Amino acid sequence: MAYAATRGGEEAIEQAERLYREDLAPLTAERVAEVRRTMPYLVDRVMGEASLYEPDLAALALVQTGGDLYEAVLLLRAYRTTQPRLWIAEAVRHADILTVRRISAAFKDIPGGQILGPTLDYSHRLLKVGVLDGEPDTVAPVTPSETPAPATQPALADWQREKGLIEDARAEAVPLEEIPDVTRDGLLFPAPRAHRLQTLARGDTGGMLALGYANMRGYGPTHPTVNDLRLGEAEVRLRHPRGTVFSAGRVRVSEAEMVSKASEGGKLQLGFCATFGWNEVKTIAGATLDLSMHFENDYPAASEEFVLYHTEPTEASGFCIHFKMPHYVTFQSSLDALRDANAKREAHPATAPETPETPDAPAPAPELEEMPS
Amino acid sequence: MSLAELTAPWQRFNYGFLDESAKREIRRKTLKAIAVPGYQVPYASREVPMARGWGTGGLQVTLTLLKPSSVVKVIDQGADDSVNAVSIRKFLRRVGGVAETLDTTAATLIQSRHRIPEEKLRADQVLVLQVPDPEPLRAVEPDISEARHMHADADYGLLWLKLYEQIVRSGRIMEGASYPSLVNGRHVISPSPIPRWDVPKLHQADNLTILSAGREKRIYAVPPHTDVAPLAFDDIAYRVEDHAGIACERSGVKGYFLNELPKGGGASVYEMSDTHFATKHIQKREGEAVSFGATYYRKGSLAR
Amino acid sequence: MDALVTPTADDIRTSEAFEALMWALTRPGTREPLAAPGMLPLATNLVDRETTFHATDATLAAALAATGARPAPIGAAEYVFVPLADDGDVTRAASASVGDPLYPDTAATIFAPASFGAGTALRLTGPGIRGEARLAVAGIHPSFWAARAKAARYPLGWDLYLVGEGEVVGLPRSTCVEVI
Repeated sequence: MAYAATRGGEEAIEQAERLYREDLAPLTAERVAEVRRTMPYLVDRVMGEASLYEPDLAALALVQTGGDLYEAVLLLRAYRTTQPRLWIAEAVRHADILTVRRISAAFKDIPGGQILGPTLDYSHRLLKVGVLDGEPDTVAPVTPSETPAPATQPALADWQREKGLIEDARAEAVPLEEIPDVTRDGLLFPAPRAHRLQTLARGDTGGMLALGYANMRGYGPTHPTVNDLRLGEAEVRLRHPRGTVFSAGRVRVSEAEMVSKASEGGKLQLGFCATFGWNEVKTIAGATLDLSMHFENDYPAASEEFVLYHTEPTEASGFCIHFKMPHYVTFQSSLDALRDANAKREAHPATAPETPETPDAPAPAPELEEMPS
Repeated sequence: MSLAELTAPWQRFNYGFLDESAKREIRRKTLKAIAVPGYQVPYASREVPMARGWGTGGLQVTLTLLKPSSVVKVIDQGADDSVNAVSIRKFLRRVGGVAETLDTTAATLIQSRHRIPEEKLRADQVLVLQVPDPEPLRAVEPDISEARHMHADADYGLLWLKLYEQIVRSGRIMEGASYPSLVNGRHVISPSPIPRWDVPKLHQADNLTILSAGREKRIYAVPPHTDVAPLAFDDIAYRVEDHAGIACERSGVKGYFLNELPKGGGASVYEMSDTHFATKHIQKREGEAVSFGATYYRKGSLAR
Repeated sequence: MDALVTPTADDIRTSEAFEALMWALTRPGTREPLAAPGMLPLATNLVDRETTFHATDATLAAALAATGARPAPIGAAEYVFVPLADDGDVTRAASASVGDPLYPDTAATIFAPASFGAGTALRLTGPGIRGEARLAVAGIHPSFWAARAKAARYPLGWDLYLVGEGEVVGLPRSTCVEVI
């Protein structure tokens, strides 16, 4: 079967998909439940990038694609397209988040305290190879603390505002329905703050890490410090048309606030990123990018347009793989111009275009214009 | 107000896949695109069940225009049976229940990647072109905010300079497909990337052409009877690909845009890029009753 | 997934209304028939909670507000539903947005009641029109055409729909209108 322009293309693509699926274990509800239960961080990452919080659907997307993350995110986003936007949840404040982990690197101790919570940060990354030989993996149960940490924590930024360390620029109270939604509007620049934060929230973890890391290494205007990093659960509070606010359930969220060390007008600057699910790398990188984008600078990795466009998982991955598609029409078009220019050059070397600096040099070879795809 | 009033009865997805709010947005933006020919209207661009870069922009417009009486033709590089064209057509059948055709003259709606068919489109037909990069200024100004200012000022000097530099360096304009073209005397567009052969087909056409970039989230349009002028100098004319005199290996017909197929020993053969148009010529040769539409080109020259 | 999805009655209605709007704007000056008469089916084709509108007719305004669309003063509304029958109407409509040079698409779309076949004779030229088109319009105050020309230079300007009994005429900003 030829690659293009063959009869029976429909049969070919059908068989290609079957071939792919045959390599995967059967898609069953049990396997989906198993992925949801055993890989919550992966499920979280997919939900964050898809900007759709539904662990069962995210686990289904992962199993259905054999764990190809970009494919799973695309599946979930395409599903999201089919869902109506019925209501807009109330805003979640720092102090409302049921916090299980909360860290600040800016101070040794902070109001509300440092809470280590669930983390691998200080574990030794040793592969438990014994499990493969049938050794049981024994994990001792957690010893409950005598004084449990409070369920919610104040915002460190509130303390910093009171001390005059950061700008007292609290978010204005915008009516919920007037908050722009980047999935319903085009992303334009300079982006409204809501669009920027939403784009980071659904950004590609790997892409944000790459650009955030570039900033951290010096290809950016800031050297950030973790001001307030949290993992927790947030109530999705909805206002009933009769006025009552009620919780429709909880979602896992992570958020990071990064603070600049350099002051601007005597104030420190904050960068922020929050996303569905627990994903510290993404929020720290995202808050670093948000912080860097605040400053006038010439670094591509700290330019709003550059960052937001190039960390879009579905767009970036889709365009990357689209280069597999045939491009022979555009290629033919460029080839035609190249051959004609070459023919002209060979036919009339004397009258070929001159380069003023080196009049005796042969005419330069034509340059093929970059082909758009 | 109750939830029941806000929602429709549950179904797996809407007719045409996109929900009503997505369709309304594309409708709003499509109308603005028609009102300002060549101006790139930003839109949200929902994710569809195909990867970005694979025709999702064109698909969203097609899905919005779809109705059960639509007769749809989908082509990629001129071919109806290219695998991605097949995949898109299959999707349209699943979510739209539409009739399909390979024949340009029978279609009401044509979604295409990189080609305009050789048979002249009529006033009752809509052509939807898939666009990877809608910005003609991208090569000279990658920052889209800057490029937007240049469009607002109708400042296309850098594009002219780029063409001029090509002439100085190579003796001719080296733009391949996607040749920058001035629409309605005001906005320069990147015409999908259709080859230069196809750009004159947009000028004072009888049909409406909608161009949509899903990943870059822009819709623009060339309405019927609108001037489309490829940027060219008074003394260096716009040139289409030099295909007029070469015969198609399959059909034996001359005078249309071709695909070159490299062969052993340094040889090439050529086949017509509009594959179904070639097929019709073969059918005619074999004595079948075939009807042809009028063509934009006659004997390799623009027929106007 | 392989099962065919059939359009609902709503899908068919909205699709027909949109086609009328699309062809009207694509072929300025042509009287496009409407499957469902009136302003509301056209309006709900475009207006929803992502948009702002201004409507002088209280019934229409209430119906549009029920879609979740936000009412706005005429100068800030994306979709404007007003009569253009007298001088006062024209003066009020003249404050409708003509768009931003960077974003000409933010200009208002104006829907106004009208009837065709008699009244002010117009000559139309521009995209979508082969040569020229003629249209006789009643119900639009003749001063509107000068106000339209004065309001903005292309590509800014209003996109106009004249809605008659069971038909609609589109006049995008790209159309040059001469009163003859």
